[in-house]
Parts: sequence; C-alpha cells; structure tokens
Amino acid sequence: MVFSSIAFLFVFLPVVLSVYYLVGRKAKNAVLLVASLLFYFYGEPRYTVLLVISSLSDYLHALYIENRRGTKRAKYALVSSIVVNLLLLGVFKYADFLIGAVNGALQTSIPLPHLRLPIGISFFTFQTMSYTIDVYRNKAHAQKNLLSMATYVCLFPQLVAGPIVRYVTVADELDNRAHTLDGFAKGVRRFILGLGKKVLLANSLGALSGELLNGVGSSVMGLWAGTLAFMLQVYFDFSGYSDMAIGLGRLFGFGFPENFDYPFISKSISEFWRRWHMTLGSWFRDYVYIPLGGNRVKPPRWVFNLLVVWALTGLWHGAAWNFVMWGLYLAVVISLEKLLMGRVVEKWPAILRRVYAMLFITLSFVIFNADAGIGWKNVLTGMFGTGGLPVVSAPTAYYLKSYALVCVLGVIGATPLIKKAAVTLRVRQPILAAVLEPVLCCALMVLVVAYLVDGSFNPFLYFRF
Amino acid sequence: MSLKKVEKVKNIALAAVFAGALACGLLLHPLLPDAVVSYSERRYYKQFPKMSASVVLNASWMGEFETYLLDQFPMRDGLRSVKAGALFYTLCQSDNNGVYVKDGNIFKMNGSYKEDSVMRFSEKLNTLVDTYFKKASVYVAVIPDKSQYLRPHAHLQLPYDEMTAVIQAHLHEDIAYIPLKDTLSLQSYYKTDVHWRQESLMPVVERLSAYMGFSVGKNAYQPHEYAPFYGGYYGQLGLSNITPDTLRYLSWDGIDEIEVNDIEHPGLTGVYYEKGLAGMDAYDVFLNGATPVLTLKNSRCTNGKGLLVFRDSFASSLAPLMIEGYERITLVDLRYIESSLLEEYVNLRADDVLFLYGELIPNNSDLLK
Repeated sequence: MVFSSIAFLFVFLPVVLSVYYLVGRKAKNAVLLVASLLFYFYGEPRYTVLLVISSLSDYLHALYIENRRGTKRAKYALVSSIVVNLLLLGVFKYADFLIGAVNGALQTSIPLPHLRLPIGISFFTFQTMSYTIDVYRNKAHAQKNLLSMATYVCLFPQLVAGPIVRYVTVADELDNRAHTLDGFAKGVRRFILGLGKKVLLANSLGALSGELLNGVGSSVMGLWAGTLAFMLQVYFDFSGYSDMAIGLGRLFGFGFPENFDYPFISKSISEFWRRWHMTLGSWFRDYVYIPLGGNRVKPPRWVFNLLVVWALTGLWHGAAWNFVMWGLYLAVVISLEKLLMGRVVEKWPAILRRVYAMLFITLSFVIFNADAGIGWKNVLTGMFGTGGLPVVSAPTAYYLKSYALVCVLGVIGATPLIKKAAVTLRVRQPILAAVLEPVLCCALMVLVVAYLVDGSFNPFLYFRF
Repeated sequence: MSLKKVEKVKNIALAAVFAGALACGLLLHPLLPDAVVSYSERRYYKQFPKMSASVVLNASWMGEFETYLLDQFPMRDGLRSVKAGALFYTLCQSDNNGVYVKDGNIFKMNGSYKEDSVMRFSEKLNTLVDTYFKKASVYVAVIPDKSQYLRPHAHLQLPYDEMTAVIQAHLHEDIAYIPLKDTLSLQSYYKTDVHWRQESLMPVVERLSAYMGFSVGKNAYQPHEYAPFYGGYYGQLGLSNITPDTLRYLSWDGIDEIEVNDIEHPGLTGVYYEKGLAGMDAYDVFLNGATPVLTLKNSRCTNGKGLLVFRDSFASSLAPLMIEGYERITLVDLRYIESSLLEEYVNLRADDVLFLYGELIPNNSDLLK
C-alpha cells in the first residue's frame, strides 16, 4: 500500500487512527503491529512472512547476544544475524544480478530465479541489522518484548521506504510515548506537506522528465532539463515520502529522524550527500565506513574505504551495474574533492561552489536514471552535444513552457525559502499564520485528492530499493 | 488572545480538518451508491472486485480495489475539474491528460509521427487490393485531424502533408488518392470531439463524387439536433467551463427505405440509431457506432453500383450522404475484423473501393488486422 493512494488515505488510515486512539495504552502497539502487517500484506501478501522472519530472527539473536555479552558466542550470534539479513537481501534482491555477473564472467548459463523484489526489503533489513549490531556494541538493550520488537520492525509509517529508523531512536517510545495535540497537528502538517510534494510536484516533474528523456524530439537542452527534472522528481518523491513517514510517526507518538536537509543548496558534493537520505548515509558511516577505519587511515586506504562504502551504497539502491557505477563515480568525485579540488573550490564564491556541486550531482543522476527512455549513456553523451542533437527542439520548447511554473515551484521548494518565509510569518503575524496553516493544508489536501482521483496509481520510486 | 491559545486553536483546527477529510472519504463512499457508467469519461466504472484467496494472495485484488476506489470516489467529476482547473489556470500547463484547449476547441496530442507505420499502412492497402480488388476502382483518402487547422506547431500536430505524401508514394499506381484537407476547416469538426460534423460534409461528398464518379445532390436534407453533446475530449479534459456541442444529423425523404444490416447487431435497421444519443457516446447515432461490417442498401438507386468502404468511425456520418449514388455501400472496419476473414463475412463484389481513415490510423496502422 502506498501513502498516496485512496485505499490508504480514506480506508486504512482513518480506521487505524480511530482504533489506535480508542484502545488503551497497552493495546496500542498491538494495534500498530496488526495494522502494519496488514499494510505490508496489502502490497506484498506472500512476502509478509519475510517480515515476520526478520523480526523473529533479530529478536532472538539480540536476546542471545545480550545474554552472552563479551563472549565469542555473542560474536557468532551477531555474524549469524547479519548473515540471515544479508541472505534475505541476497536471495530476493541480488540473486539475478549475481548469477548474471557469474554467467557473464564465466560464460555459464545458470538460470536466473527472477524473484520479485519484496517492497522495502532494503529498509527493514538495514533497520534490523542496526538493532542487532547496536545490541552487540552495547549501545542498546535487547528488547525482551516480542510485540515491541515486531512493532519496531514492521511499523508501517517507515516500513517500506524509510527513513531508516534505528532501534535506539525509538526504543523509549516503543514502550512509553506521549500523544499530544501539538504532536498530532505537527504530524498532520508534515504528512500533508509530504503528500503534496509527492503527488503535485514529484509526479508532475516525473511526467516532464519522461517526456524529455523518451527520445522523441531529443535536444541538448531537453536532456539537461529532463535530467534536472528527474533529479527534482527523485528528491520530492523520496523527501515527500520521508515527510509523510515522519508525519505519520508523530500521529502515533513517534519521533523519526530527519532524512533530508535541503541538499540542493550544498556547496560541495560531500555536503550534498550529508543532506540527502541522511539515515542511509549515517547507517553506512556507522556500520561500514568507521569500522573500516574511516578517514583516520592513510590516503590510499581511505580512498579504498570510500570506494567500498559508495559501491555498497550504489548496490543498495539497485541490483544493476549502473548503480554500482553511480556509487563508484561518487566515490571518485568525493575523493578528488577531498584530496585535490576541495582546497581550490573552497575559495570560490558560494554561487560558483553551488554550480560546481550541482554539475557533478546532475551527472550522477544521469547514471542513476537507468530507466531513461533513450538509456543513460545516450543521455550523457547527448547532454554534451554529441550525436548531432539540436540545441532545442519543438517538443523541448513545448514541455519547458508547459511545465515552467512547476519547475519554478520545484526549484523554490527544494530550497529553505518557503520554510523561512513561514517562520518569518509566524513570528511577525502569528494570527494570520495560524489561520493560513489549516486553510492551506485543507486546500493542499483537496488538490492532492483531485490529482489522485484523476491520475493513475503512482508507486514511489524508492519502493524498488 | 495569547500566542499559546492561538497555537492551540490552530492545532485543533488542523486536527479537525484532517480528521474531517479522512472521515468524509471513509464514510461518504459506502453511503453513496456505486455508479455504473461515467458519461463524461465515456466508460464503465469499476465495480467492487470479487474476492478470493488466489486474487488476494497474488495482490491483483488490491490493484482492482484501488481502481474501484478511484472510480467511485465521491464527487469524482468535481475533483477532476479541480485538478484540471489548477493545472490550466494556476500552473499554466498546456495540456491535461494530453488534451488541450484553443479558443474553446478541445484537441488531443496525437503522439509522434511514425513513418514506418504509415508505410505499413500503404502496404496493407496494396495487399488488400491485390488480394480482393484487382478489378475495382480503388481510392484512398485520409481525413486530417482537426488540429491540422490550427497554427502549425511541430509537436502538437502530426505532419499530415508529409504523411499523405508517404502514403501516396507507397501505394500502387492505379490507386487514386483523394485530397480532403481543403474541403474541411476547423468548423467542420465538433469542438469537444475528434469527429467531423455531418452537416459540414457536403464539400467532402462533392470531392469524393468528383473523383469516384457517383452522383449526389438530389436529396433535400433536414437537420435534427441533439444538445448538449459532450464529445470524447470533453471528459478527458476535465474542465467544466467548456461549451458543449450541438450534434446534428441529416435525414431526407426516403431515408426509411434505406436498409441497414449490421453483422453484429441484426436487430438494428435504421441509418440513425436515436437511442444511441442517450448512450455513452452520442456520435453512435450514426449507424450505431463501431461495428465490423455494416451494409446500406438503397432501393431508390438502380444504377447497380456497389461501394466498399474500409473505414474508421468518421465514415459512419459520411456514408449516409453517399448512399444516394449507390445501390449498396458496405462499411468494413478492419480494427474489428481480420482481413483474412473478409471473404467469409463480406460481399466483396464492388465497383468502387474507398479506404477512408482519419490520420491516426495510418500513424498506428497495427490497429488494422
């Protein structure tokens, strides 16, 4: 089930909210767990069992680790837990990719299993891994209550597309959380904002990039604009989902971590990735990069660490070579930025630094966009004028004119301008701001429903990861 | 009022608005009866999908349930108008669902030009002629889409002139191409629909008669009106401030003597199917709309001439105006009958054969079976 569907908005959510607030404190987790399993079952009936396996496995492993803390058995249990999670990922996400690679390298013809990718598997396996590792590192206590543990793993607001919520972040809230009017209202605002980002901006920008990158009437300007539109689409799609998840979390009394911090205002590529999908970045930092030695090693080893982390980040996003290339590309440009360009770039004016960062980030999104109609390699070469493409074509001009305001809204929405304006209004005209907020939320909700009713089913991009 | 109180009232309002919206969506739907037909969108609405263990476990039920909820959502048409209004008037976008408006006239973006398809169209016609019509006089005409009468825009129109040149270049030499573009204008088409107006077709009939040598001009036509006519583009656009059309169909003294035989609907016998006016597409009034094979017999004409028209929906309103010149006109729609079955279901004896298609068919010639 996706948040931007009628089934979620007008069947699932009102029923779950009603039952949740009607039952007593002790039954709330049970309500959330049943609702979460139903939520997952609606999208992945057969794979719901994987969620149960993942929850049970990490529940038992963590208990075992805590009981034998400091012994080798605890270490074996940790390895066993990680193996179970990686096996789930390996079988259901990477089997075709790995077998294909083996077939290609060894000229064999091992049949591909073609298993369907379970929705959100990359998110919930990473969450459960972080839990067990944190218990092993003594940063968290093992959860003795299976219901609480299962609620953490299956919690529907962040189950299928993040943010990647670590157990320590919500450990206290799982057993004791406050439900306030202020929290509920903030949750509503955040959820509607995310819904608007996804339905009004991401989908429109997706339509624009689809038209500009489908190979009909391609032009140099069209390929650049299409790639920028794709980049903004991914941003609004994913940050919109994160907003909805954080908002829903608040409705049920949870405080989830932020996942985006206006990445498009970054002045360097490293900064961009500190602001983009922050919970994934910090996961790789804490569980891969630092254990490898981080940056407290000699430069060659540090570059190696970066290559490993970014290759894994690429693979996390998809079992395909373009994602590996995307990760390695980022590792290389970040290494160059840190070792060579950084000192030069730091002296540039802010605007130039932003242009520099955006240029390299845009190119990374070309590699990332494996689904571009004409193929990412053709997009990349076409953007630099090879292939005899015109600078601009009639379809490019038509779509850029048609989507001009959407693009302007997208660009403004990707910066903190609107947030700053809202804060200023709240300080200077608190009553006007208080009146406007529910009115705008209401208008946004109506508009979203109007777009949904007129449109087709729009799954989130990040579901496939 | 203190700031704290303002904040509290705002929070209550936000929570109430949200809860109210969710409750409305949840409760209104089961209270309202499910609609069966959407006249504005010209389609049947999805009904509650049947549930079984297999369709739930393979998740196909969930997809159907979502479609059902979208179709049956309360105030669906009003919300679609809200979306179209926001898109056109707030975001200044040029089209909605690939449909756009110019001066109260609705047009559809017809996709990109496919020369391979156009060449395949000519080859298909050549094959049919070689197989069945070596002795008949064969004609081809392509009806321009109404967007051809707008200011040229390379992206919004198919290259009609280029397309017809390719068609002619690939047709057998003894097949005559009949140009129609100059016999029509934007006013020849409905504002809210793809089709042409029957009352505007006299120049087309005259052009065809000049090329094909059949006689017309004796019938005195009386128009009949049906309004409001919401064409197919109206529903796709979603805007409610577009003036609907008036549909006119022409009768003449002796129209009742025209015998109509529809292979799919044997009970239908008239040139105009007036019950169709109240159906999903009022344009079905013309020869009952889409059907694979239909024959018109004119007992008043005794010249012994027969015409076979390979056609799409445009010919439904044109054929009644041509029957004056033939004893028999047979309309064949190759979108609904395989070419290989023609001998089995169609009397292929004809003096004249006309291939008459709107420009979308050559550009999507794989539609022809």
